[in-house]
Amino acid sequence: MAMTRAILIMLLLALGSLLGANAAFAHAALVESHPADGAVLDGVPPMVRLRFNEPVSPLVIGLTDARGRRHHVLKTLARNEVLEISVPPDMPRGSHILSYRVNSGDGHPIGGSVVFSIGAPTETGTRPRAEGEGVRIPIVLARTIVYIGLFAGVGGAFFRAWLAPGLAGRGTDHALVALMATGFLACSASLGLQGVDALGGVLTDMASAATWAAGWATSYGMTVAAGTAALLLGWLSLRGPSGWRRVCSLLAMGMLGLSLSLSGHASAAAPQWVTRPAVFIHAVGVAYWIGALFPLLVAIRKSPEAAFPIVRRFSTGALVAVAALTLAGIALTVIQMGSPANLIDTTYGQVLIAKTLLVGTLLVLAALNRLWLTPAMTIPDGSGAKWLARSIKAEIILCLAILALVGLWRVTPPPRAIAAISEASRSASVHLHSNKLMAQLTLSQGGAGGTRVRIVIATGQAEPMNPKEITLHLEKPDAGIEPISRQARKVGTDGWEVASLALPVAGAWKVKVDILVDDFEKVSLEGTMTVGH
Amino acid sequence: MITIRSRGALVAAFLSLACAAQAHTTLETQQAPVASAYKAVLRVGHGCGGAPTLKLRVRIPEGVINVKPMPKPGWEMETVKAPYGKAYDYHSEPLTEGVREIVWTGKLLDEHYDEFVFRAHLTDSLKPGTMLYIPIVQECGDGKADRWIEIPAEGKSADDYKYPAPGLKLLPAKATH
Repeated sequence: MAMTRAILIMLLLALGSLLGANAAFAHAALVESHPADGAVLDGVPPMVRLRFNEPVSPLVIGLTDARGRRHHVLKTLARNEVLEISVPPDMPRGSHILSYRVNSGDGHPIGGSVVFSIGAPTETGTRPRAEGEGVRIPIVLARTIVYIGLFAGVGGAFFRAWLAPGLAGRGTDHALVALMATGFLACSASLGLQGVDALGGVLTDMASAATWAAGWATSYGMTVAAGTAALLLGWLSLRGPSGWRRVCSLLAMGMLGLSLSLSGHASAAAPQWVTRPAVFIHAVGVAYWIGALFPLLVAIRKSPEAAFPIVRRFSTGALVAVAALTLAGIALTVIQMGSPANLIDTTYGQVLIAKTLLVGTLLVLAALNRLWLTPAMTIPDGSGAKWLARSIKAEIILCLAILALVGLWRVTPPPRAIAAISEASRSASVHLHSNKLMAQLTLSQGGAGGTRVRIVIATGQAEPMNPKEITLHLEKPDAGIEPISRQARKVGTDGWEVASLALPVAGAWKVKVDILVDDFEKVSLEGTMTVGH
Repeated sequence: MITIRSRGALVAAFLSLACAAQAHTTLETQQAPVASAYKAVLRVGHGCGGAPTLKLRVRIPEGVINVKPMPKPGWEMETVKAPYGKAYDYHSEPLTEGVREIVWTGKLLDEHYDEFVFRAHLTDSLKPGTMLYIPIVQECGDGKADRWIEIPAEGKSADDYKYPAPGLKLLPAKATH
C-alpha cells in the first residue's frame, strides 16, 4: 500500500516537473481574506475565506486559538484561487491565528497567517494577562471560605481530638462539619474559578469541562486535592475511637499545611526550600490557633470549670504555635517584599500592613488571655470566664478579617513578582543589526488593542535614518505559525509602530524587519523575540 | 499530518526545482561573460497580487554601463541619467555617467505576459563567478507594488526570498582576439 502510494507520488512528481518546466507559472499571493487580517468580530465566523491571485492547493492549515490550542483537522475546501477553512464553533474569545501554507502553481510553497479576534484582541505578552477581572471577587470570596473551612474546620477537629477529647460537644461537632462542608464546596468552586482565570475567560465558562481541566492543570489543582483530603480527614476525625481521631486529625493538619504550600505567591518564591516549609509551618500554626477559638468559646460558655484545664493545655501549645507561625510569617514577608519601600507602594504591601496590624491586635488579645484572663477563670464569681469568652469572640472576628485580607493576596502579586514582571517587560525588546542598519523593537501593551511594537531604525553608525517603508514579520515555526506580516506606520520623527498586534501564543517568535531604504534597496534584519504571558 | 506535510514539501521541492526560473520577474539570459555586451530580457509574468502592472522601473547596478533600452509599443519610456561611481573605460573612452534607471509606463494585465528589453555593457570591473542583481520595481494601481529587489545574503539563494531581484551569473571574459 505504502509502496504503491510512493510510486504514484513519484510519477506525479515526474509529471509535475515536466509540465512545470515549460509553463510560465506565477507566484501566488494572498489577495484578501474574510475575516480580514487583524479584524475584531462579534461572534465566531463559520469559516475563513482566503483568496489568492491564482489557484492554490493547501499543504498545511492550522488554527491556533486564544488559549494556545492547535486545531489541526480543519475542513478545508479549495476552489480555484479560494480556500474556505471551517472554523470550530466553540472558539473562545480572544485572538486566533489561522496559519496557511499553500502550494502555488509554480510549486513554490508560500505561507502566511491571518489573525482575527472574537470579542476583543487577546492581551499579549509583556505583562501577565490581567487576572480575569470578572472573577476577581468570586476568587477572593471562595479563597476566604476555603481558608475558614480549613483553619476553623480542620483546626477545630484537631482541637477536639487532641486538646478536648473528653469534652461532650455535639453542637460543636455539627458546626465543624458544616464549616468543613462549606470549605469543601468553596474548594471545588475555586478550582473552576482558577480555570476561568487561567484561561482569561468569563464566569459562564465554568459550565465547560475544559475550564475545570485548565484549573486542575495549574499548581492550584494540587492545592485543591490536598485541601479536599484535609477536609475529608478532618470530618473523619470527628467520630470513632480516640486514637483514630488523633491520627486522622493529625493527618488532616499535615494535608492542610501541604495544601497551602503547594501553590500561591509565597510558595512560588525562591528559595523554595525555605518558602514551602515556612508556608507549611505558618498554615499549621494558624490552624491550631484559629481552630481552637470556636470550640473553646462554646466550652467556656457551657462550663468554665470543665473548660479551665483545656484552656491551659491550649494556651501552652499556642505559645509554640504562635512563635512558629510568626517566625515563618516574618521570613516569608522578607522574601516577598524585597524592599521596605514596597510596603507602602504596592497593594500587596498595603494588605500586609493591614494584616500585620490585625495580627498585632490578635497577639495582644492572646497575651491578655494567657497572662490574665485564663488565671482569672478560677475566680469563683465567673466574671473571669465571661471576659475570656468576650476576648475569644473578638479574636474570632479578627481572624475572619485576617483571612479575608489573605484571600485578597490571591489577586495582588507581591513586589517580588512585580519586579520579575517588569524585568520581563524590559526584556521584551530586541536589537537587530547588520553592518548597514540596525533596528530596535520594543513590545508594549496597547490597552484593549493588543500589543504594540515600536520600531526605531538607525544606520550602522547609530545615525537616525528615514526609510520608505517598514514591514514586520512574526513567525513561530515550532507552533506551526507562518509569518504574520504587518506594515508599520510612521509615528513621530524617527519611530515606527505596529499597533493592535495580537499574539496569543507565548514563547520565542522569529522576527524579521524588512526595511525599504529606497525604491530599489531593501534590508532585512532577523532575530528572535520572547513574548511571555 | 506529518505525511501530508512531508509529501507537500517533496512536491514543492521538486516543482520549484523544475521551474524556479518562471516563478518571479526574471531575466531570460541568466549568465553572461564580463567585458562584453549583454541583452537583458526582463520577463514579467504577473501583476501585483492580481492588479495590472502600470510601471516597471529598473535600477542599473554599478559596473553596468552604456545602457540602451529598447522602446516598446504602447509603453512610454524614460531614463534617469546619473554619474557612475567611478569612470569606466569603454572602448578606450572614459565614461563617467549614463543611464541608472529605466522606467516603462503603460499597462499589463495580471493575466498577460510581457518582456522588457535593454542592452548594456558589463564592464570588466565586475567579478566573474559572482551574481549580478538588477533590482526591479513593478508598480501597480492603488499604491501597490511588487519590489523585486531582494538580494540574497551570503549562503542563501534567490529561492529563499519572496521577491528576489532578477540575477545573472557573471562568467570570465571571453579571450580577446
